[in-house]
Amino acid sequence: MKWYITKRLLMLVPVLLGVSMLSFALIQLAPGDPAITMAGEHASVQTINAIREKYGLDKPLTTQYWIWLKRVLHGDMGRSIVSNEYVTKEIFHRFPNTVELTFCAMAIAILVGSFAGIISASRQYSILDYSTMGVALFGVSMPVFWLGIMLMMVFGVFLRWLPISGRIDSLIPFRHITGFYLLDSIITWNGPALISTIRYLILPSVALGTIPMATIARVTRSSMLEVLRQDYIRTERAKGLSERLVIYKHAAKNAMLPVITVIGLNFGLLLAGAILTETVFSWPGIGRYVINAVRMRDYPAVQGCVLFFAFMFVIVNLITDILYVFIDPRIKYK
Amino acid sequence: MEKKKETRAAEVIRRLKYNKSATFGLVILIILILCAIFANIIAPNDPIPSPPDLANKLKPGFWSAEGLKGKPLGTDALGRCVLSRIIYGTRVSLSAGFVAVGIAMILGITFGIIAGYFGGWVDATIMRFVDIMFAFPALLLAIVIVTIIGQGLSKAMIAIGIVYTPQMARIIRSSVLYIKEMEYIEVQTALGSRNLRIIFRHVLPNSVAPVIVYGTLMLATAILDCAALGFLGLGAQPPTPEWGAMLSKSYSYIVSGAWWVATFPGIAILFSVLGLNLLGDGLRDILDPRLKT
Repeated sequence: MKWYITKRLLMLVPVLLGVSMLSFALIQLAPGDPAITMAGEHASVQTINAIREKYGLDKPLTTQYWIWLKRVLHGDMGRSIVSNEYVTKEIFHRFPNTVELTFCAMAIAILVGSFAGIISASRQYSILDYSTMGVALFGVSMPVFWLGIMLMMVFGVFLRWLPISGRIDSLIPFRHITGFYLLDSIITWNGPALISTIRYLILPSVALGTIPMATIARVTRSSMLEVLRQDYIRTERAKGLSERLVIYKHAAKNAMLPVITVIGLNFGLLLAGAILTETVFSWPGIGRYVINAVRMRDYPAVQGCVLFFAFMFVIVNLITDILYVFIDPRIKYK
Repeated sequence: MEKKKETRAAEVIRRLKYNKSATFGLVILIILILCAIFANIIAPNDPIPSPPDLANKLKPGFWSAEGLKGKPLGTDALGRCVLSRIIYGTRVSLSAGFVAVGIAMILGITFGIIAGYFGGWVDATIMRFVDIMFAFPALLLAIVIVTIIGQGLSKAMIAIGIVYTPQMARIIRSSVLYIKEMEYIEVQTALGSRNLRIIFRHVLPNSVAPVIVYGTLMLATAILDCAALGFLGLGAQPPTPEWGAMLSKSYSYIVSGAWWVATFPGIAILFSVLGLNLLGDGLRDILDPRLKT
């Protein structure tokens, strides 16, 4: 087990190096002089020269890459062309918003999705099963940005139940501590802020969570059906355990294994979905930031965000892989 | 050889008929293709009229008394017929999807076969590249590529094609690895056949099933991703009637009550993707029972 985790960690090294090279290449491959690309089209000659000096842009590519990599490892991803702030600072400022959104979306997806899958499987071929799977089929085929727009239209514009953009009602006094709105409002014991935060979170996280929810429901169902056919389930039924106990305690537990893989795989989809959802709901996260940066040709910012997204994605995949070993005792890794 | 292939195709079609959801998917795909080919005949209006008919902007469709005759799904902010734009959008989205998947197939099959057939360091190098590309969420990688090569519909197609390449390469590689161990390939090698001959005569034809299955499913996600890029303003540019781009300014329309502008293009995307997913799942059950989940 220890060896497996070490091996898995070692495997990360080439991938992370590759990711960093690709991010580095972003500025090199962009049309024009890299120094101008990093300084912005309207920068002064002094600024451009300073950047050329700082990043060794007149040196060979390999040297440039090492200079850049060293800077990145020290947390310096350059300055944004648009705001002239450090990209690292801009990213960490927005990072909690994206995390909060993706976690809420994932929580909704896991809770509703696995429950729907279990119910569907335990009543296979019933109307409930067909309708749940029908909804799930629509769910996996839906463009997330369109779902966001529809939710916004129905619950925000027509019914006026929920706010359609932003993070919190600006009239509510709120103190920032960690940057996580949910956490901050709990720490500061700020009831109105908590309620407001939740109200602003509902629509974006439902929009973002629907696709993984549908996938989880489908996988849970097929995995449950497989488990329910096993001998030990028949034995449990034969010895008179209640159906509820059989399904929720014994079958569901074993059926969750493939679901965990799916959750891990869906995280990438969720990050990509966050880019779209944040754009729809004007959510001040990294997804919206990267899109604005692309539009403004703010290459240092794009580079920083790409590196950050890929890093998060790689780490989540690592966690899923390791978690899998802990959860499934049948898997023995050399 | 020729005859055997035909019966195989006939068998697939015959079995497809018994699979209701796959048939439904196939029907949707056929409707889409027909819409794309005959868009200029089916569409009631010009999708990009010039000059724009601003007097009739954001008018509702058949459900309202205010609706205009001949514009059943209403008009958008420039007075253009939403239905006509959706019908012409089929052309854009389908061709974008096919081109993107085509690129992914050509590149993916090439790399997948090379990696799987030759193995060793060639395989290791290609698969490390694949791993690196898998470290990026697909849409993000497409955005990165578009940032480098520039925005626009054709660039978006190329970007999505490149992004899907590693997936295709991995599928082909594993199928090649499976076929390579078969006895008849061993016989070919023993008989002294050249590598290229073995690949083209034996390995490639046997990888067709997963290529068709995943190609269909990939077409669905390609259409979605292309629409997403259009929505973000990085893919198809106005006034191109592209489904994603049609939704990109929809926020301002729904606030003014024009729900139809934001609703119908999304339904078009939804049904195309749904149809392709159903067809892909059905084909998988028929062509490759090993993959059945």
